Amino acid sequence: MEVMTLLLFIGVVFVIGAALAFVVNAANGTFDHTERLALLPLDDPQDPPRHNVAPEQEQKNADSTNRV
Amino acid sequence: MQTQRIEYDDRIVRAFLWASVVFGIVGMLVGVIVALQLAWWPANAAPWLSFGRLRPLHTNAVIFAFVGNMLFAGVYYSTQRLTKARMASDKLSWFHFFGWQAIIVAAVATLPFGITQAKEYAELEWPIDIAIAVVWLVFATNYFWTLKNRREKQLYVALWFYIATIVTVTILHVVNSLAIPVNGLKSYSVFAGVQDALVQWWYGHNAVAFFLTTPILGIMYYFLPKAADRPVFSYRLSIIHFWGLVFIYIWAGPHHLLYTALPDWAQTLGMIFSLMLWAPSWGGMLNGLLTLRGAWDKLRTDPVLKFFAAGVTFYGMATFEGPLLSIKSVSALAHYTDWIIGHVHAGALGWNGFMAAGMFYWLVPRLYGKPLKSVAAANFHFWIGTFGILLYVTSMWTAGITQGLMWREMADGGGLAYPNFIQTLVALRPMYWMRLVGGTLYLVGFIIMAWNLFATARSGAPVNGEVEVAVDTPAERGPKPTIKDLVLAPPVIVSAVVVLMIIAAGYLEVVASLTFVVLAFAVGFFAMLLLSVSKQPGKPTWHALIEGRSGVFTGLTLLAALVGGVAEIVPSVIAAPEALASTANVPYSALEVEGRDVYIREGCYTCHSQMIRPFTWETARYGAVSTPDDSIYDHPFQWGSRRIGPDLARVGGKYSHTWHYRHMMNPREISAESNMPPFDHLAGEALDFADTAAKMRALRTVGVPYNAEQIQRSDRSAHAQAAEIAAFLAADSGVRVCPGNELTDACDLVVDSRMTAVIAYLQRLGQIPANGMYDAPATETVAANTGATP
Repeated sequence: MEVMTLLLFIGVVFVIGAALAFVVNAANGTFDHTERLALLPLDDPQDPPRHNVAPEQEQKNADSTNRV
Repeated sequence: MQTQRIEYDDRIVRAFLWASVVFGIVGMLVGVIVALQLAWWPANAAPWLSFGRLRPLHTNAVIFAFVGNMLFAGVYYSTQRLTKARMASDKLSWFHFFGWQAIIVAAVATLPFGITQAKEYAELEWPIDIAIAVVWLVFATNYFWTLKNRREKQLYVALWFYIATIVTVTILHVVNSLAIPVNGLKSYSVFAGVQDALVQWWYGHNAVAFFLTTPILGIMYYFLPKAADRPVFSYRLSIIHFWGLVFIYIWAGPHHLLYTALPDWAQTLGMIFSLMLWAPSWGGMLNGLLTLRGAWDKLRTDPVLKFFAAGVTFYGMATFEGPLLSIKSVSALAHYTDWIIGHVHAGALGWNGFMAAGMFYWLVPRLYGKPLKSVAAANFHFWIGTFGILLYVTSMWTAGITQGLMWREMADGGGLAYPNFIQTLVALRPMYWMRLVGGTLYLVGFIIMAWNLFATARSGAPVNGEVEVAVDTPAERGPKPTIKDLVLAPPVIVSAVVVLMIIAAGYLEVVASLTFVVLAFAVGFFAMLLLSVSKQPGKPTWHALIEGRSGVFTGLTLLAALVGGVAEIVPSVIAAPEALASTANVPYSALEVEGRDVYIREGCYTCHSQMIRPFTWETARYGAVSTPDDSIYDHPFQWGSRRIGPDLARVGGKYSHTWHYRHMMNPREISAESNMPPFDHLAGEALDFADTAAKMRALRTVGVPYNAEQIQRSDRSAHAQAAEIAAFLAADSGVRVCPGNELTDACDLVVDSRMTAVIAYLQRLGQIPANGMYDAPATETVAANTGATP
């Protein structure tokens, strides 16, 4: 039982600690540089403007979205 | 600032993509065949097409040929774009491609013929293992060379996952493949018994982690944002996802060995780290799914996003189920059952298969400059594939739980409620047919995809991507961070201190050790808080710095991945000599060594375990609990991972030679409902005992205590033992023993055959001969091959 109490205590400390560490890091802008990195895959200028959706289907989608 | 135009090498992407599609069909077709063999034994059409031979071919084809080629296609495509650099060497890329395909061909040419190391997902023999290492290192060289040439300083998260894959797979493959060759087609693992089990499942589990998971997560982090046309939900979360996964995954291997003869501490570590995996795995899964926020409507029409969303969902399901199965009490029910097969197929078909399909549907229109031939067919593929997976996993879950419950059910008056193993098999048969239907539906969907992709490619022409990149001068790049900034930085020092404190805690008694762990955590936490608060505006953080240094990043990744492996494997390596010195077991005789090789060759371990767990229902069915001593001379270990047939750890002496002979000639003669294929061919396959000495010498090199005389007279000893077994069969059941080494119409059994050898081995399992290892007398002359008792 003594061990169980300790284990629970450690578990709670870990969870609260991890959450605090995350919040403090985020608040201090430790990972602000990642804002630009997240956009890297989208920065691919040679990507051809082709779609997997057939044009007629795409038109239907657009119509459906407009109705909404 | 100058600019430069780069043409990406997309030819290599196309090559890997088509190889993946072709081998995907082959691997899944073999999967359907082995599923049929389990439901209907006559489908074991020939010895080289039997379940034991084809099952390793299925797993290797799907893992290394289908997913391997798929991940290489994704890695080559995305790395070039994320680094704004063409692959460093086209020659190395093509060497990688052709080398990998040659390895796959070598697997097809060896596994069906019983040339195997009998270690799951690492069955290929040593020359092929060396080829894998060479090809993988060529890939690694090309990859890191490309990273060096990159024009985008910061490494995007997908590249981290690729780096982790490359370095960790190298270590896993090299360590687990360490073996002493006997000849060009045969070797023995340097590890034995418990140690081999630990190394194998450290490898096996992390093959799932670092071959089937981390590279596909890299692919997810690149292709999912592209397909959804929005950035990843949280890049910050991806950092935690990466480091959490890389550090924790490697420790979880022993969860494949719960309640076995593995030491308790290793089992507990495996279970705890498996549970911890829930956090990073679900962090990654949620990060993937939430990337689709605001784009969910596209799922109605875009098959790529349908596949990605379902694939990531299956990742979440499989990574929830994995830790669940690692809880010891759940493992007690699920281990060795079909539940595990359902679990791995939710991952393989749902996660790997659907992520592959999504990536292919996205890539092929771009690689050939034409829209997808048929969106309707792709949607049909999605639905038939999803239905197939659900049918597959639900049938296997049902089969597994049924099997587990029937094995442990005790009768009211005591004893087992289902004492005959066949009773459980009969109960599962309908589920085996359902699994076959599910797998076939999935394969049909995959073939439709292959047609759709091929038709799309035919309607267009190969297109290579191009990009205009800025070429900056050293002055524009700014000052380089020093090694001190990167390696001797406060986060590294603090992490090292915390890890050392936790290791030290392992040597203390319970309360002191837990207090030490809390203290270690407090040190780490406050150090991190201090670092975070003291951050100077405008100055990059440590993590931002290492994201720009591929060498340092790779080193730290390697370190994170290595800690778990070292902590678990080193103690078993240190303990091995002492265990060998104190064992009461005796080595296998010359014929038993040969018989063991037959057992391995026929893939018996794919259906039979050799590990009795400490449960009443197991000891009542199979005998005393297995101990580390039982398998101390087993190079490789043969504990198995599932029971389509009963455990064989203590089958020795349980039945007569005649029973084994009849059972292998025609299993239905012994058990009418058995689905074991017949092994009658063994009776006529003569063994050349001239090779036995080389085998025993190799085993002596890895620690089996054979002396020179035993090795020298191994051929005589093997023949003498085979002749005894043949004489028994002739006297007991009238088996006609052949006078020579050829089976004719006038006889039923060759004396020096694989049949007598495997009977000798089976009779030895769980038995320690009272007179020590079977050996021919030192002065005896070689008996003529007549089948007579010497």
